[in-house]
Amino acid sequence: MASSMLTVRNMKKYFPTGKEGKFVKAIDDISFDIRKNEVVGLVGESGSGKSTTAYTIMGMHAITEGTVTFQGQDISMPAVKRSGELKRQLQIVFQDPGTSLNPQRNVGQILRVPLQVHKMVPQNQQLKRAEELLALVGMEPETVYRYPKSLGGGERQLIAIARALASSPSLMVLDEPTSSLDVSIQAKIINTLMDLQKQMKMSYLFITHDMSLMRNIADRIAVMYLGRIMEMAPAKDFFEKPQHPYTKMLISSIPVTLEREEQLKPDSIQSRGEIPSPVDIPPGCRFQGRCPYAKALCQEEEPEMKERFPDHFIACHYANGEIMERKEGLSNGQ
Amino acid sequence: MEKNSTLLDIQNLYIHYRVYGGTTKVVDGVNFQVKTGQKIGLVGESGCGKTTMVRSILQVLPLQARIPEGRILFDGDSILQMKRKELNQVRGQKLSMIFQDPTASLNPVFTVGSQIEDTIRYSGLVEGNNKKVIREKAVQALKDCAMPDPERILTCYPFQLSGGMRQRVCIAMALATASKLMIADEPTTNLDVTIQDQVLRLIRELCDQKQMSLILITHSLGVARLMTDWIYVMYAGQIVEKAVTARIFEHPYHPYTKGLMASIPKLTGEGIMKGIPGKLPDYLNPPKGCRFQDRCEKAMDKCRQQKPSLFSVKEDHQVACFLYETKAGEQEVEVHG
Amino acid sequence: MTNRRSNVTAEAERQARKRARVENIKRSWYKFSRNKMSVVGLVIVILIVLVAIFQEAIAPYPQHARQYVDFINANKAPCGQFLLGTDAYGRDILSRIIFSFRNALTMALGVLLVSVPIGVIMGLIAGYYKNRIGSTLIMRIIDIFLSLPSLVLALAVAALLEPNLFNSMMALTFSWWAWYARLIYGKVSSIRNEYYIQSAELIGVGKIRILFQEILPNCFSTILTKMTLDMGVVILMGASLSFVGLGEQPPNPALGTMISDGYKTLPDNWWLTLFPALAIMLIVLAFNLLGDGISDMMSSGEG
Repeated sequence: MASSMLTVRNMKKYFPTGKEGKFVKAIDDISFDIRKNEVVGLVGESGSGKSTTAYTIMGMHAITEGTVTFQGQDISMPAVKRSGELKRQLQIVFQDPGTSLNPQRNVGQILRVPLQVHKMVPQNQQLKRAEELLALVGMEPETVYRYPKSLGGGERQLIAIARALASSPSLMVLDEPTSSLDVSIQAKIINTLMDLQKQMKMSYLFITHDMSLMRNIADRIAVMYLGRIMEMAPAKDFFEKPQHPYTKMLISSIPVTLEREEQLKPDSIQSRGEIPSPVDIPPGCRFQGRCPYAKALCQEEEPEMKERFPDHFIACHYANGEIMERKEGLSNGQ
Repeated sequence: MEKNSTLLDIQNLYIHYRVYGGTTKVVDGVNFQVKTGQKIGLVGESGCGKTTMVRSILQVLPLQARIPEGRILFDGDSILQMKRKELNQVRGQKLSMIFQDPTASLNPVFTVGSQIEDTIRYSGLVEGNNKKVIREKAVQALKDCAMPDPERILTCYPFQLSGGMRQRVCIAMALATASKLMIADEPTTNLDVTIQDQVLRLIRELCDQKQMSLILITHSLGVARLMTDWIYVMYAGQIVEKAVTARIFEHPYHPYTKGLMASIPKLTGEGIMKGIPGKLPDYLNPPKGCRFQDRCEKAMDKCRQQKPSLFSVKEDHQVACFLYETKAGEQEVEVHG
Repeated sequence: MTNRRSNVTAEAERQARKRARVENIKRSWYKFSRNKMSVVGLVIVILIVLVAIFQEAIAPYPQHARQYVDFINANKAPCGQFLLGTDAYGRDILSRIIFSFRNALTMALGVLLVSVPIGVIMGLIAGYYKNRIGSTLIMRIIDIFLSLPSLVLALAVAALLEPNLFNSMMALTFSWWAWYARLIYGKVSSIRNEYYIQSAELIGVGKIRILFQEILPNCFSTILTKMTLDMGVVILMGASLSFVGLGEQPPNPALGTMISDGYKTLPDNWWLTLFPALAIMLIVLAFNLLGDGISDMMSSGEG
């Protein structure tokens, strides 16, 4: 707890639908920590609530229930009510480089906005600082005069990162920053991000659906499904000894290129079924519809996150390191 | 048509776009073959020209496109010389395409059933456009795509279906009429990884069952590895390497292919990947010689003067790179640089 | 050391920016001129403006645009001496049409330069604070203004005041701002949730700065296109007002007045009505074509 930078406890975020009593339960009771100097990866598919988690932490959505604490301070309020200092410490980089930069402003103007708002440097040094920020992300100082539309997707993301860095944050939330980029450009961005993380001693909440990427950059990983965390563990354990059936299903589905990666995949669970809608979540474990191991208890009671191994939390009634029995009629690899 | 005869033969294809400032040479002398029953992967990053090339097969290029040179032969006939009627028949009955975004491929104001039936009707496959027969074909197509409750799905609108199901509808539409070649342009990029797995398996099974050839366009080498017999790697409008799938992963030759593989994060946790420095060349004024020269560590003088063409380095493995050229110009002997 | 580097790069940067600006203009022209009709529109608009500026020099009988009577030459059909014929007072139609341009353009610019800022500001506020009371109130007021036919409203206002050019401009301005407010409301509603605005909010940028420095620049293209198209529409409305006698008063020439004077004599003295009507049509058409071209120019993509 002492070294925890961000603490989320029992967070819920429900969105109203038109109908009475029916909500989109985007986040349905999650709890986790982000420690100092740590990269936490949050993975999940559509409807998992990972982006909503990021936005709620940033204050873009009002929290429905639960608490978020940042460096000991309660930050469960929406962004408009947050102090300037808090806004400075918590920054976000969005997924789509096309719309995260104002097309009518040049790079210099874009980078100066946080410098001005947080009074990071006096007016006459702001241009110089902008150039320094560009150098930090590996771009030429001349870029200050260019407009976003003359830059490629990877370069725009680097600007978005530089903008986030401008206020010297302690925690950066990165919402799929490289998902829309080619893999050769992604590599450069990820390298830059990880160098910066070590250099500036920040923590990252890194959201992605790319598990292979997570394997290489995250210290700990949490996987979400339909608004709940199914499993959270240090990266090595997560991939070498995954416990939750959903985690196994995800890892099995990754298309890999090398034989040695193929062998690393856990007892393969082939994906079946569709992801249900977050409006009508069935009672009991929300994964039971697709789980090859589901039993009677899974339909009645929703499993709690339990620490079954050191620092390794799992939300499943039966996952405790032993071999699980499959439902009748389902053999391995099906 | 016997197995292993050439179904699609693209010869020396050039495609240019007329834009502000001149013409962009988007596809630059591409040779590409698909045999019956083969599954070919076309791998490349955004902007490499793979979508453009494939659209030229179906002749659905935008207005500013020009084809100054090259031939496209499908099932023995030249696509570039076909008249509209003949082209429509080919497009209706032999060829089809699935696109990246299933939501954008389906008209939101019509039911899925009416869209599939329209496709069948316009293909001219059903004599006299008999409604009953068309209906049955539509239901059968959905069944082939492992859709539960096909009759009910036919009455649904696209927004009532999930992303994976929409893509399966698109596949059904393609399947209902095409018999020889399916072109899939990044069919699973927008889908979740577990659904992607299901859809890809489906496409592979269907192609095997129906003896249909497949061109799979993707930027993911991992996906290509699962699905294809041969892989063509494309960079900046040129094919830089082509080989039987297993061979490419065993031993990639072209510096771009190597760079691409090195950039992919590995499940084994080997550490953060290197990228490929630099950017795509300017298509308006492409450099003389190899288009990869500015980004290649091993670029030689020759690379800046001449454009390399594909030649064999091994059985079933060709590269377009001077690093592997010998004095004779054929068959790998020594490696330069 | 730092200073010298800044100077050197500053100069190089100035050059680079100039080059970029020229490049930008060339590219915009390319997009504009792809449609030949837009260029036609531009040429005609330029000609109209030149005519308005140099009306004294261009009109064959400038004095006919003022108090002038010559019954001998009254109601003459188009001939060598009077290219478009003369009216009931013997005044040359061509000269009067030429002199009406300046008033028409003045009226259009006057109406727009006042109504656009008001409308845009209202639209910005209403769009940004979409779910608050103030916004709803503004939008309902706009709804009221838009539901009344603008011409009828303008007539009512103009009838209350003394009929002249200035008052008819005010009458039109009275309801014109509402269109811009609604247009900008729509644009701001869609931009408001874009990530770059959210980023600015999350960083802590003040609301006024967000409205005017982040959101407004993205509306310029919409505003400019609509203003161009509106030039033609306002001129047409102005002509309608002067048709019923509520605009520019005689003897100052106005296109609408000329039509209203002449239409009673149709089809005999056809030139009294036809030529002013064609002039209006030409002006509106020119601005429409120009507006199309501007819209093409502002849009991204070269297809």
